[in-house]
Amino acid sequence: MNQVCKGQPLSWLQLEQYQLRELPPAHLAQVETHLQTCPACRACLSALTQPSPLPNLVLPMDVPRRRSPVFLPWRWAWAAVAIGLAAGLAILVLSVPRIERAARTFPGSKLDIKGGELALGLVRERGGSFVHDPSTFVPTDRFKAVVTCPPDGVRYADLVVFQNETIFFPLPRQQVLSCGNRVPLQGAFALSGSEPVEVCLVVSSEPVDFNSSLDSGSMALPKESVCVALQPRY
Amino acid sequence: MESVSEAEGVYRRYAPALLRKSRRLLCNQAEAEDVVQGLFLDLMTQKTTSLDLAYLYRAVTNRCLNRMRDEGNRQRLLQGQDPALRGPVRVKCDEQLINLDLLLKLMNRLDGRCSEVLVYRFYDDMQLEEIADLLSVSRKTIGKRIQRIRQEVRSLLQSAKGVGS
Repeated sequence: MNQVCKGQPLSWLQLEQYQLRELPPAHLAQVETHLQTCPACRACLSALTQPSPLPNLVLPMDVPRRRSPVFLPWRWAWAAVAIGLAAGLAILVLSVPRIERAARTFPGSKLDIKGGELALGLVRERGGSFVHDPSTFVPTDRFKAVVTCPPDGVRYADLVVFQNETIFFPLPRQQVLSCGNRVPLQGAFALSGSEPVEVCLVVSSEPVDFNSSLDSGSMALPKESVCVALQPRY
Repeated sequence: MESVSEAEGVYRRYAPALLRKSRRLLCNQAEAEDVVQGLFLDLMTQKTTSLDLAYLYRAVTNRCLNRMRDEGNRQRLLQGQDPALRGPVRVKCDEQLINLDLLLKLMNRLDGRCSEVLVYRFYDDMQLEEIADLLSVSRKTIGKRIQRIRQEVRSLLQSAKGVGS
């Protein structure tokens, strides 16, 4: 819709500032006078007052964590990117050596299972650029998890992150997974801190109760798990 | 922003305006949400304290332009665009509407400063004085950049006519 303004139109910034009552006083009278005489600009101002849903604000991961996931209800274009890539690209295999820690051993990012292969991939967005299977993170990065698994029935997926002595679930828990090639998990997440992380995918045919493991202070990964290691980048 | 509640307060106050601006520019709801979320994530990480809408408007403009500079992003933006999100157009460049396709082509020919001025003039409908205040430069400088933009728009349209004939 193109509007014809009487004279010089008010800018969108001025209209937004007017609506927020933040216009510098020197400009307020001029803006109000213009609005009285210009239907086009009045229509634009009216459009600013229309209610529209506001996505929740994503918090950095060094905000105090909870057992329940920090769900990021972003509708990302990444879903379209990941699906498009899955249709057109070969699987990117990330060979991650086993990382030995005093209390826990992490598997690699690929696992042969009945019916095919289980694999976890990450897509990182940094400053508008996307990288597949990254090896580093900074706090402003955002990650999407993509899963490859054989399409043989319903599976439940959990993404678990291990960092030093901390365990957390950055995505909605026990997502019902329609297996295929690089299927994106719902939601996106960020990472922070100065310790390396292991991002692990746990897949099961029944919902998994991690609570008892978390309460005991340790968590053994189930058999059908794959992990990707990321190093903090300074 | 020192605390989460402060960050959420600033977000609730300014994010709607920033989303509207990003949508106009990117013609894509999801991309616009990405840009605004990324901005606030950075602001919280950097603990930026001095914020007003003009500052955030400029920050969002540069984030959107950076996103559009990536070739992969461009293809995705063009394929996923909703032209209706451009919104009402009150300022044109010599009677030519600057849409997403033309904007991306112009960005190939203009430097960052001219691209930024292009957005403020033809997407945000700012007058030259307002742009000069926002960027802390003279009105004359803005006038020169607008002139450069107009030249490139004419050149692109002439090239398109030449190809079509």
